Amino acid sequence: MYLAKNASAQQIREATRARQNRYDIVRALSTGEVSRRDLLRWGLFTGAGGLAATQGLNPFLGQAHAAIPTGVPASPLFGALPFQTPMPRCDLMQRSELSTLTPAPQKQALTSKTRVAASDGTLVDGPMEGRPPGALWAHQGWDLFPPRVAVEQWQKGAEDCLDYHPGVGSSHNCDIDPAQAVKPCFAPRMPAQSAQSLWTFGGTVPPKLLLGRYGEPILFRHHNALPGRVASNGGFGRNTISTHEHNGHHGAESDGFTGAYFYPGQYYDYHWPIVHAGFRTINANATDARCGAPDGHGGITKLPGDWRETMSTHWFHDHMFSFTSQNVYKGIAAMFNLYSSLDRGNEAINDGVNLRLPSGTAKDWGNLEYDVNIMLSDKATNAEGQLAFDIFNFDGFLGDLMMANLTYKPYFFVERRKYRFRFLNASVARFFKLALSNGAPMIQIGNDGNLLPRAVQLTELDEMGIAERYDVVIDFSNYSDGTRIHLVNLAEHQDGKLVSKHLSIREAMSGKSQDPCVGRFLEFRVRGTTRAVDNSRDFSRPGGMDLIPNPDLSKIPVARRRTFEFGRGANQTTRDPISSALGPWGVKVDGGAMLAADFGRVSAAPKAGTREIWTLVNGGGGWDHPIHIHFEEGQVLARDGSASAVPPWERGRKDVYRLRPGGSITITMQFRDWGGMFMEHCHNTVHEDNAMLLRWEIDPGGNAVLNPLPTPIPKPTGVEFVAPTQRLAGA
Amino acid sequence: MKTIVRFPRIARRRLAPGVVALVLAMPLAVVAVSVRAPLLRVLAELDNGVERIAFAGQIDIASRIIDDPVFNGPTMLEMVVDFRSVRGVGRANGRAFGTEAQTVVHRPLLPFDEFELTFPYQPGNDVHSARTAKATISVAFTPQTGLRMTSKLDLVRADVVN
Repeated sequence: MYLAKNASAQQIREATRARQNRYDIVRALSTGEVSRRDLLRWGLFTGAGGLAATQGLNPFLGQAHAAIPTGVPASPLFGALPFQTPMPRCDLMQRSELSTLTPAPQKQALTSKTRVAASDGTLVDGPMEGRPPGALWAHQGWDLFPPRVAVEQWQKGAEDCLDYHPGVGSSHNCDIDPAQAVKPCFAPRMPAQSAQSLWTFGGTVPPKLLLGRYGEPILFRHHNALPGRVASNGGFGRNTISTHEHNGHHGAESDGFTGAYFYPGQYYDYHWPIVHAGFRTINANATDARCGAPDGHGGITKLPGDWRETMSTHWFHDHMFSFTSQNVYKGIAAMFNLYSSLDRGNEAINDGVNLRLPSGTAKDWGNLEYDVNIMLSDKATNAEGQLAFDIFNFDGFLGDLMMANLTYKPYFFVERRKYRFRFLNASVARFFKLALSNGAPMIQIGNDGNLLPRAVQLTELDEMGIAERYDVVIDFSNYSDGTRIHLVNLAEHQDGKLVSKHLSIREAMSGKSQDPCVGRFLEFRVRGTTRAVDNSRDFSRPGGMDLIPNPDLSKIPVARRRTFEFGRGANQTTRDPISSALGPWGVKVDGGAMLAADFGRVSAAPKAGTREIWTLVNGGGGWDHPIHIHFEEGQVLARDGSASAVPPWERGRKDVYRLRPGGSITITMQFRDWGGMFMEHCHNTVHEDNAMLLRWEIDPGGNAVLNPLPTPIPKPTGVEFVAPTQRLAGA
Repeated sequence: MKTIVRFPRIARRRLAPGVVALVLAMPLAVVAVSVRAPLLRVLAELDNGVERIAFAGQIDIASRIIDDPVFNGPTMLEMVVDFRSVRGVGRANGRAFGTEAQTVVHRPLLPFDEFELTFPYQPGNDVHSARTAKATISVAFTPQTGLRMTSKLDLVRADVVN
């Protein structure tokens, strides 16, 4: 992505010229005027993927840094300096009464007509709701878990935020005055992003945060208010969207299936019941207080399900087929905190159930004063300061601007006490590896939104793959007023395929790395002449590191074992113009052919009510893949075939599994409570888009012969259903 | 401080002979896929500003060498470094110090490489009193002799790294 710091003026000119030369192709590709198949035929893409070595198109020809992929000139900073901008807290999404929604949500998609934008921007008659119609895509559990909270969001191009709700007072938000308009820029000196460049929830920054609690089903109405013309995208991004609640345990109709996208002018009602997995069979009478939710008055509402399946830190993001990386990069990503009787968001309630994690005390649940969401990402901008992306790169796009909550290398005030930080890697291809600049210990309490069976104290966190979430407690109580400590990224990339080198803290801070996102990126500024009041958990007491044990799977027989290998050189066996994609990336199922994605193909179909063991294999040593499996959390059983090789921070539940170069990981997961079509894919979303993704289904009948579901093919005039393009033998 | 080097089987693995080198001792050459070295009675005595602590034990490193024949990229060395067998004793009052830390490191495989890793240690279970130690790992590699690792232990003060 980045040129070397010592790149010559000529190299920079060539890179700029190459970028300009490619602009027309980029634009045509992004708007669908040409396809990747066309570019392959014309020789502009190589068979293995990536931009052909054509003079004037590839800015790295003849350079020593040819291995670095897309190479655009460094993003201009417009005078912005590190640690001069406060990191804003996420902006809370408004929770409303269900009665505020018009029209009222329904179990099946509402098919009343409205005006929907076709790709050229012309308006046609189409259904109001983009959800596929009919019984197959009706909300599962609608009667059992009727929605109680409405959240309504409009996906829009960038605009000023005039209604900022950080959920905390200014003293907990770097003294930011929420009454002031927040411009959609990454630093005050940087230009505001245009409505074509940045597409966020509500069109605003800071990024959004939704608070939910178990037992309180949410109806998330997502309006597509993006530009009607597909070409009005600033060169990348697709205006059709599908929102994945990562990793919600919901029915498939609310999962954000990659092929269930909807158009500008439409909305999609997602029903998130927020239930503990196993609710139909475990603790079905809701007698265990550990399986519960804050009742709003200091007590607990007991709920059915397995308390050991409690989840905490989610996020949701776009999952548009072949365009996920571009759309997430453009800002279609938000965080989602789930609160429960165990993870209350109130550190003072001492009832023997609440784990009393750093948060606050003012409200019954969901206090954020000492519980901070941090969305990490890397971005790049063009000469005008607008977001830039290189769709020619199939290995993974890397930016050169390090962001925390969409702010360039910010600072954040902390008091002298413990904080919980919920880190999310919201990049498209970059891995992070976090440490504090002084090497101070941190306590990792969660992985992928799941509190660990046992917290682990570390000074250098493990690599954090795309979409992984690490919940970490940092204790600032021993620092004096005015101390400045930095979060440091130790993971050096040379390209988007994998981390090229883990640096020591000293190396990362030396400034010698050619990777602009290595080193310090967030400055903690300690303030307070005395220690602040801290009612949160004492991790040093006996059992203090014990959090949520894993579900007991020992009595659940393994119905089947499957192997998925993730690699290069994928073939496409189907030719559906909508549902099939070209490689070079692909997935090999149980030793079969390496196949490029087709969301019309059913690659696996576990039986409802069973447990399986899946081994995920990295087919090469020159890349890494953070593999995400939708639906329910899994448990890591082994790395490279060895149970003892699973590190302590991976011994809880997870939904993203980093394979490591040349490595493999064996997991187990259950298939229960809900049905439908789900996905498994690399969360390096550039790999996912090109075409490392597969569809699997839960066979609801548990029949010996799978009856695959029809594939939705959304159009502005309505969703059509077609038969699956393929069902893999033995699926 | 002694270092253990293990070579588990991997998809793309060079069966490089392992060499375990011990700080303040002559290197012990071992040609095997999995290597364990005898205990080393080396004490790293460190002053963390509160008390002097005598450390002993071993750093367990499981390593893999990973090739990239598809892109012909650099050969990678993966090390899973386990500090759990490092133990300390306070000289003044005999307090026991320990750690549960592990870390995973990927570095390009070079003829010689040296890097630092930090890990926390604390008295008993008192994680809120944890301090940071620093291990310096030296790795030498030739196709003929394989991997050769040494380590030494040091402390990290708040003002040392920053």
